[in-house]
Amino acid sequence: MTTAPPSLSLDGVDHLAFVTWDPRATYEFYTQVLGMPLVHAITATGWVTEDYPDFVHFFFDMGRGNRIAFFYYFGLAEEEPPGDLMHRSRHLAFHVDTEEELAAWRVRLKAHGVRVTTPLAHELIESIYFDDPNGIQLEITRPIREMSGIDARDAELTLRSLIDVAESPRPTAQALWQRKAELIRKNAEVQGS
Amino acid sequence: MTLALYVLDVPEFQPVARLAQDAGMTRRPVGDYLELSSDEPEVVLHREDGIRTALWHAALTGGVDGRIASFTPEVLHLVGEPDPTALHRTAEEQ
Repeated sequence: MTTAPPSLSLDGVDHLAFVTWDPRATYEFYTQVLGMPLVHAITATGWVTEDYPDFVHFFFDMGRGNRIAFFYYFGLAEEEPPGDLMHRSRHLAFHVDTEEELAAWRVRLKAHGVRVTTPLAHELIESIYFDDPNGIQLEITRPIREMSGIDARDAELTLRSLIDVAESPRPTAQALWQRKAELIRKNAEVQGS
Repeated sequence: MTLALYVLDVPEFQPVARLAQDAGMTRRPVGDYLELSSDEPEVVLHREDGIRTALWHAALTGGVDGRIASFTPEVLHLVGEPDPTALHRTAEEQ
């Protein structure tokens, strides 16, 4: 007798892991400024590979059971910070529900001496941006409206266009937008026929 | 020759559709999108104060049938295809 395989789906974030060279500033920032409880820490000799340094791995609760974790490696030379574009691109955004909460977080961050941007409204979300003591860009964001099916269908067309264009010799935003218009018209013809 | 842009039919992109209509483009629904089209060889959209920066720069995210002559923080200038530069572009791509 065969049984159907169980359907698989992942259930959110367990933890994200980063590296710190400043455990004091990291501990104070995440517990006092962001109000995240320290929930777990493990200390070990470097067993993973031959040259793996001894380390501390510690975890803060981000809410909803999601955790942010840091490694502190003993004796590891500090890395150069990334360039500006990569610094902005690789970021972590926390969710709040309302405009009032977003404003209140901005006040709280400023009260702790954190440099924080003015709120920036994107298409579906409005966000403030700031750095943690490790130079990791953080964002707090609130929804302007909830995402729905139309957004997902549009995203599918955008990604189909991007994949087509990204595999061409010289990908451009214009080429993507032109390809997407073609796909929209094709879809309309199929649905109209 | 048709020049067209596609605007996702959601609240935040309605100002882009309105700008296109103000520039003389014709609006009709196509699936999830509003198609704004023109038989003119070119169309110029001028950003209004109410259109926030992030939205303006994403104005073409729905797709465009035509070519971008220029896209600045204030002005979006679209030209229809085919035109001499389109032939040039095709030749470049080969």
